[in-house]
Amino acid sequence: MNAIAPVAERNGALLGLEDERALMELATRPCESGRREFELDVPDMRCANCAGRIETALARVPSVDRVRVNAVRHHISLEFDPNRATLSDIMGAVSAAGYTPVVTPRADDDPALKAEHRTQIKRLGVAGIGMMQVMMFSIALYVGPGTDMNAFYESLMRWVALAFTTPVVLYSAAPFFRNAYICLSDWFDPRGGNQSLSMDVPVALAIGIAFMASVSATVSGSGHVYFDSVTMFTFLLLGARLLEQSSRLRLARMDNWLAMLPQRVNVARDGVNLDVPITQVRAGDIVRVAAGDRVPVDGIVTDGASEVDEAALNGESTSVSRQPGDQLFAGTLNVSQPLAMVVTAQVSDTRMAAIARLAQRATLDKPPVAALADKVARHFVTGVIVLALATYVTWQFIDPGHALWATIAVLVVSCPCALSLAMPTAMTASATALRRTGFIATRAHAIESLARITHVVFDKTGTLTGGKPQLMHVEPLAELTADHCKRIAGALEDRTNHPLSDAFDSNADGAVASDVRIHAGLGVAGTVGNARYRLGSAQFCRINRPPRDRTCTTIYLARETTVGMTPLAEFAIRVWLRDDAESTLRELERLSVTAEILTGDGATAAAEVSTALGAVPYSATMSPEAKLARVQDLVRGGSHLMMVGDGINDVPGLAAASVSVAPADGTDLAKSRSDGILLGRGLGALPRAIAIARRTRSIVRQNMTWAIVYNLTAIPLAAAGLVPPWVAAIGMSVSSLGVTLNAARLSRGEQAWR
Amino acid sequence: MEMILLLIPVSVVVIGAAIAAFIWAVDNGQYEDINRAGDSTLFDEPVDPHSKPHSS
Repeated sequence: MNAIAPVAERNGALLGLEDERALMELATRPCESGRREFELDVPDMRCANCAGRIETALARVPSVDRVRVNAVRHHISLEFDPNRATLSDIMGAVSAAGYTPVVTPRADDDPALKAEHRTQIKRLGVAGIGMMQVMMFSIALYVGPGTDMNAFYESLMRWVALAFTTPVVLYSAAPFFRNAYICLSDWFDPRGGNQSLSMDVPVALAIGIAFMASVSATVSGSGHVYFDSVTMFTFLLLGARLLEQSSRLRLARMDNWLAMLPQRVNVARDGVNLDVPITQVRAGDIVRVAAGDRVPVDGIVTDGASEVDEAALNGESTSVSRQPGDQLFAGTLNVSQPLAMVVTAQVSDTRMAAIARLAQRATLDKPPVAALADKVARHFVTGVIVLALATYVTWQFIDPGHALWATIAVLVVSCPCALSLAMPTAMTASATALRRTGFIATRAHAIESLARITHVVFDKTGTLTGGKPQLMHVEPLAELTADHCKRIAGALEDRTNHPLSDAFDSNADGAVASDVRIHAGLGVAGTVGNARYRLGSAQFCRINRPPRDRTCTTIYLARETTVGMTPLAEFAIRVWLRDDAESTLRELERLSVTAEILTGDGATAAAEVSTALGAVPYSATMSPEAKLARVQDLVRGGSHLMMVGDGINDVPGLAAASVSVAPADGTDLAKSRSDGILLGRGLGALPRAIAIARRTRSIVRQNMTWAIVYNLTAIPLAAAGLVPPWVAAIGMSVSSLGVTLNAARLSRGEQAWR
Repeated sequence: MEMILLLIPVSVVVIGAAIAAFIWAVDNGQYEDINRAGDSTLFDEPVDPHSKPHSS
């Protein structure tokens, strides 16, 4: 069966009777009256419009009901009656609409997790509604004492506030009590379990004590009520927790790259067509990628020409054209024409897998500052409880009637959340902003180190340069005209995929080279017409003359004769700077970061690049050792240095720099040694990343300063009995809300860099 | 002031209804994907998953 066959036909083959039964077990769950719930992924559903079309298509399948299409998660869930429709019918309807249904049990769609998420939203909603009501009655109570409100109405208001607070405490705040209980029973476990207290302990204590005290005040009709503080405290903490959890889930889903790829692939292996699971696709297989399909594994185009959307890999929305010889990457989308490719890497070795692994590494290790904040916050919790106890004991000697309220004020006013939220919110927001700008931090310290950068060292070839090389001039050396030589060179280069081959027109009026042999690092030899030619370096063509233009890369064309070589022409090819190289350097200058070029190329070519970029200091003809020595010199001189390099010769330097960055098309070795990867084709993400990192640093500092100053002022005041309950509650809420909103500025402000 | 004696029970009932409606909405998955509902107004064809299935 041919892989370019209609999608529906492929799925028909996929779902035999056996498969149908197996899938029914695997992917459906029973629900009311014999119906079953079915969940499937549609990886190529990209927008709300696709979702609408799929919904319409599914509505036509008999008995299908309650279709829920989630365009963000590429996910559909529906209910159907197994007696009236089969899974093939449903999947067929999706394929007929032009999409690829995929059935994968996915961790984040785990029903337990989903139920948990729903419960959390319910808890938050109940706390929010309760809070609004309690606030209204509390305002009446605050204002009350000065007006003609008599004791009966005051007592009534308190009872109503109690009625609204009870579900908030018993239902919404339940997780805090449960976690605090678990944490405390660990703490008191004689076998020495977990020796640190979580934030839930003071939170549960404050909510519990404040609620119980308010209840007793309501019953006895004396003292203060704290119902407003209790509900607000619960609502804000639940909200913060939900936000944090959903951002973590989003990150986890980003790593779920495998779910984006087709699950079965049609391959031609040793001349036989096979339908194999994606994990069994091997290097050397020929895979056809239909228009509109995702490329399953990395490979090289052998046939066809098409536009490929690489947004999944590098976030760039413009498609790039791919022709025979070009690389295709797993996860990219073939937009316009069918392609055939030869597989170069198994699914676990693709570039997408490598990037996912690197990004995951960053989430595994904790940046030192965050680790410090964690440690402080941990002791902070114990400290607050000790302080609260001390307050209670001290007040017993001064004024026992005031002791409980001062203790609660200490517990409520102290804001461990400001400390513990300050770092993760800023880091998450910053990682998101960085990824959107085209920079992936692959190590946790990258964001902190980026902010300190004072010096950037660039490698030249492949980093500052890129794109299509241009043929500057042709100098005939023998009887053939320049045009004729270009045609021969074009025919020879047409059969190679060397970076410089783009300099020649590929379809030079039908001249075809045969018997082409590529000599790695030297050039190419082949027969055009009835003579044999060589195209390549001076050494390869046995030519010994100084190049006319030293600023260009020079290659030669020669004809092989029985006695040796006849030189025919000299080509001067210019490799261009990346489009945004100059603007990037100017941006860096604006951020007062010094740039420098280290290159293995000759001095003249390096000087040319340096001048084009505005007199950037450079060092030419640098060996990898010399690059390393230069980097070490700068680091010893006190510079915080970023090294940007793509090649194997840059690897020692990358390891020595404070932050090392490799472009996505750099060598794998360079990428694995770097702290960050530039996803796009340009360098523009570099200054943006530095700017974001600096903003992150200042926001983290603001947050930490605020959290420390706030707690240092508020807690002594509260312990002294000077903070009225409502001020304590507002202080706590404003301080944790302020920290969160401050961090959110990072992801919101990213439009400014677009 | 006596009006409050009526208004408070009324508000309790209204809030109870609001919470019940909210919980119903969450259980029906209305908070699973909060972006798409807004986009759905842009569709050409009305999208109605509850429409009578066509016989096939």
